[in-house]
Amino acid sequence: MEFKSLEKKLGFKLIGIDVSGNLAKTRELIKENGATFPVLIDGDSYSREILHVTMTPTLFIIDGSGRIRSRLVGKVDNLERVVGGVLGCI
Amino acid sequence: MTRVSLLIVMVFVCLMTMQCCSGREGETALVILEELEAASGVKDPEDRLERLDIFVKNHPEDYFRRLAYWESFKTIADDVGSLERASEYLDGVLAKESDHALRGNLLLRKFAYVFKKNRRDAASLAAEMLDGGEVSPKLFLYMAYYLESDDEYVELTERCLKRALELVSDGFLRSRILVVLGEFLEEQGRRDEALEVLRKAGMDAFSGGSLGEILWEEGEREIALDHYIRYIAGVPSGVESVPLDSLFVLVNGDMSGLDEMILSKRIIDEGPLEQHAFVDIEGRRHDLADYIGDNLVIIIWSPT
Repeated sequence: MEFKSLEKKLGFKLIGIDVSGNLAKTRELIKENGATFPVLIDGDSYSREILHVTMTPTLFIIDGSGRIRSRLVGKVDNLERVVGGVLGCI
Repeated sequence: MTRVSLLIVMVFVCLMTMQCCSGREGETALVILEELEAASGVKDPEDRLERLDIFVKNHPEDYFRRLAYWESFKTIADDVGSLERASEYLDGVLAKESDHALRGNLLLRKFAYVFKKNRRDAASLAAEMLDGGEVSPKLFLYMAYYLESDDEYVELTERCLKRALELVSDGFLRSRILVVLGEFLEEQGRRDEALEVLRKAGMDAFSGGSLGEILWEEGEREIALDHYIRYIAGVPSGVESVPLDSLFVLVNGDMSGLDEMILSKRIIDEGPLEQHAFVDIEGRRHDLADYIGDNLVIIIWSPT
């Protein structure tokens, strides 16, 4: 997937947060998906304790004022449609 | 010492100090994981155990020490070939670690490991933990996930789920547990109880899928449809199991308005994203505060 062009088209920044602590597998997943966005290491359970993530993947959409405007659980096949739909309304 | 020499020494010390300070602060999580990766990759099992032990001693408060403990357990169980010694090792760790989340995580990993080898032993382990003083709700929730796959452990599954519920009073985790319990009760044919439980699980979008299914079967199609829409709004991949388009047409005659309804339930306001600083896998620092002003999409994932 062309993440960079999607970010530009829809007007958002994309980051990943990895909760596994498995560097090798994370790097493999990044390569397989052609992920060009930053992948952050969750080294203190921020995702679970603060964001209350109970399953992965979970996707959050945050608006420009820093508010959480959508929480989507499970894989999101049509990222452009789903994210574009939300961003078009917030 | 001449002035030039002194100046050179001072510049050198300053540069080394800057490198050490910025490197250590900016790369902490990555450096720790790389150290763990190196220790876990040692070929000889006994050497590996020693390196993992050093890792834990070097990082006694670090979140990732749980991974070192688990690597040690697996090394003893699989490479050294002694599950008994591995269990003793883990008992030693649990005797000194009071962090409930860490304890729960390690006990769950042990349970899952044993479950793959011998379900009866795993069930005994779960029963022991129910009778003991463990207080991690996730431990009991995830053990229930395993146990519910086997009809022999229906009662034990229910005990685990109810214990998990006792340990968390509200929030997303409680809703998750309620969904799993509701789905379990429905599978057992205890529909009224399932409905009562699922109706309390509103924070978890999966509750919509389960409620939709039950209420559709009971003929309450409009309410069922509303729950299904809530489900698909929060779990987009839910369309693989719920033919929402067709169900919507059955109730409403056509598809008009469906996309808008999904979108309206998809857009929420959970309040401000709590600020936090991270290091990425390249060692670069990121502050979530730096993204204010931009729309931001965060994917939380795990490749394992």
